[in-house]
Amino acid sequence: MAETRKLTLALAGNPNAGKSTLFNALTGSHQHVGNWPGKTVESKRGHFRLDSWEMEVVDLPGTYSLTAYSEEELIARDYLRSDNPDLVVVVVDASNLERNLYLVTQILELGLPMVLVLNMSDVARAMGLRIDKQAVSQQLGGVAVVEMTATRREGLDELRQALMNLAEELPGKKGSRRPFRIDYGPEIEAEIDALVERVANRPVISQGLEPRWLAVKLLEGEPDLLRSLEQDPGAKDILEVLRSAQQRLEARYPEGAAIAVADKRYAFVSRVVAESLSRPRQAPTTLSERLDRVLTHPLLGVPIFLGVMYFVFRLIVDVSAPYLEWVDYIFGEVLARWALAGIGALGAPEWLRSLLVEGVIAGVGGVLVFVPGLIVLFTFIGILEDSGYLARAAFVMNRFMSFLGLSGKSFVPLVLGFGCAVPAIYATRTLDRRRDRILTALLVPLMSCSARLPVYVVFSLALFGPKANLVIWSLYALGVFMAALVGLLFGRLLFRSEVAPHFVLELPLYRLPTLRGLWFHVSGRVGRFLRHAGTVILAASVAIWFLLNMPWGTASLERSWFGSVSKAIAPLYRPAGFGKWEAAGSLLAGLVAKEVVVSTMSQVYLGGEAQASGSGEVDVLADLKEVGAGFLSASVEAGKRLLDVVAPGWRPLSGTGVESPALGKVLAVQFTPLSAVAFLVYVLLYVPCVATLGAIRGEFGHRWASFSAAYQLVLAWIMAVGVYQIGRLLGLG
Amino acid sequence: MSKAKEFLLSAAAEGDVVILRGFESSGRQAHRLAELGLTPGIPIRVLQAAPGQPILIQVRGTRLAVDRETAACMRVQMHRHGPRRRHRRRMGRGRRGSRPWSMGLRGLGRGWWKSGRHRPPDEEGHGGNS
Repeated sequence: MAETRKLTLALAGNPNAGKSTLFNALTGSHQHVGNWPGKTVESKRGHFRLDSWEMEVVDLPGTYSLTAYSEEELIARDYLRSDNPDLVVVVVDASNLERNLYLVTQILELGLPMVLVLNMSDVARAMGLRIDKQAVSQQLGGVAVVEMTATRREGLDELRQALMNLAEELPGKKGSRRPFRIDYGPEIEAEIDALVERVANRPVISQGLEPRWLAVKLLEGEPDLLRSLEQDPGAKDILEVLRSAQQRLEARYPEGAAIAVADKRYAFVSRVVAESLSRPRQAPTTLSERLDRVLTHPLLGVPIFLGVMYFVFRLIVDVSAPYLEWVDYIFGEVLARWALAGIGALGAPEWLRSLLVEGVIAGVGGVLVFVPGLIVLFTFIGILEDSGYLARAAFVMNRFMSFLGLSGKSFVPLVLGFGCAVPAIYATRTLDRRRDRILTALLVPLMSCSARLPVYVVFSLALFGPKANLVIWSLYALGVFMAALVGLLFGRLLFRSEVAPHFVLELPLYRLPTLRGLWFHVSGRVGRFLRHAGTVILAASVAIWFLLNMPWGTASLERSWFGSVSKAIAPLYRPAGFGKWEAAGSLLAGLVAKEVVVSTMSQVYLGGEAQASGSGEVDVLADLKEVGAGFLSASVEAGKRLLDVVAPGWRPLSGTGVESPALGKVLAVQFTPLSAVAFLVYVLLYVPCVATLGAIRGEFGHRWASFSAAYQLVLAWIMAVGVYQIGRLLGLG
Repeated sequence: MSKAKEFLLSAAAEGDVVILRGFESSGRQAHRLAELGLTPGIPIRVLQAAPGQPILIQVRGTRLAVDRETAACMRVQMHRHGPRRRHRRRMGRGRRGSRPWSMGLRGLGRGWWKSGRHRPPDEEGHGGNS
């Protein structure tokens, strides 16, 4: 068939059911991240071809039911209800069939064409569970059921076949499809019947949805529906019928109609499970249970968690450092030399050479140096996420978080904040209460994100040599400490409500992260960083280069526009020990993104130097050889360091630290150790970046964004000045 | 079904198996719990109950961490006491299981918060949840 037909396919399922893994398996690299229309919330879409079909896949946020309790669930529900996807693939954790099937029944009631994926069937098999696919299908009204292990791509062909079959049937079936029904028992059914007719005639709420589904939702007391009914003057009778129905049901079911409906649905699900699932007589003690005995232990849990975090950050700093030097060599020397030679051969004007080498290569290169560190960081955050340990960390840390008036769930966005604040702020959507979301979002920027790491690394390697690790580690710790302090303060001052948040969190089974899954995490996030470097940071570098060279042909950087502005604000930082225009200017530029602090410093301090090394013969082959050799020796060094972290003391520490990159040598002259620490503290605490403020603004409005920016600027200044002045009193300066 | 006294889930001890009877709070929170599988009549196994931490329960094959306040919204009935509690009553503190690192440490945690807790009357449940 030559003609391609387009279909929209929504991926739905409980959290932790393996939706994202299936999404990656289906779409491969054909993915893009965008926003939900009208919202700042991230949506993942992708596409793949299936015979003559072009499938557009929408990855919905994980949800336990179609009653929305958090914003993520609201998105999933609204999409399924109003956007009318052509097909829905519901991903179900086969090792946890009962709870997962609850959502399935709700989506079936909506009347959407569905393929049911029993994912993680390897786990189910290991637990001794045997699922009769045919029986599940039969019980659920003939829905297509596919067994899968998405992590190993098992069952993928079967799923594609099932999707194809369903797609072929679609046009004829629409409308004539036999609706799926759960028998809610005579009392509830009578009330449903009474409501169905009235609801079907009110276009305000029916909007082409199954009237029966709407009637059930009304009985459950769905707030949105009730609101639209209350606004509709012609719907008074429906509300009256509903009220009396709920009263009658309450007499029969003391816990209320909503819980009675949930109970009946679960009763139905239990029957499905009883018909289709056989369990071993003696449930084996799973590895997850045994692991949890230690990892969520009341006494051991917290020390283990802190140990894990310490280990991760040691790895990031230690293992990536040798590569850092290597990438720096490529950009700072090899590429700069090639570019100069190339441009010289073309006879380009002097200013273009300067723009290319001092602006673009120094600026972007200064940031790309940190890609190795980011790869390590994102790998570990991926492992924490995929293994299921992050949920345990939230559980273990709940008592500390409740001290701040937050629940352990807020902990997950905070850990993600170590990677990047922007997705971390989006991750607050999993929290139930708006108060918790805002407070968490205010604290996220205090978690030292990966963009700040380059600044720490350059400074601490330059000024503290062998003690660099200690400095970096302390900065991370300071961020966490300040978050606790600020959280305590804001929790009491801004949000008075003393009611502790309710904390109900599923602890999924532990899973071994797969290389494929980690690859998607790392490549996606590093890819975003690289795009960032190629766009925002490149633009910022070029802009700063212009500001540095304006008015045209200015002799000294200090008298450039950039220099004048920086000079004007520099005195503000004098009490903190870095009241020089170069430092102030870099901080100003760092508002674009924290990495830009480093790239600006490269331009300001090194601009002239790079030029000097630019004249000379270019021997491409020798350079490439050198680059290759550099990579090998960096890998050997990283391997040694890895051993050192895994088995401390195994290798006697050699005195030779990493050579600080070119910028470091200048910094060692420009800063004293004390002023460097004050500077780093400022970098840690001041406004993260425009993107983060944008995310906060999108989620909570401009007032909270301004508040976030203001409190961080004040906090950073106070802390930096405090560090410098106290240090001087102690005679450290 | 037994006629055992009802108490709040927050007072259950590690290893207990209890039956959910109803909710103290109404409205959205109870509905949320019900949708997660905590419907009246369902057996709940208490996997971990330590001071200061949420309690860890198993219900319908899912493990859920539930904070104390939420647990205090659920009325339950004793179905079967946790095995270790009975052992300890008989044998005192010295008993250690085959996994000394878990049993021993659990014993450590248990004494802390015992006083002042509401205990349902002893009742030997039979059968179990699966």
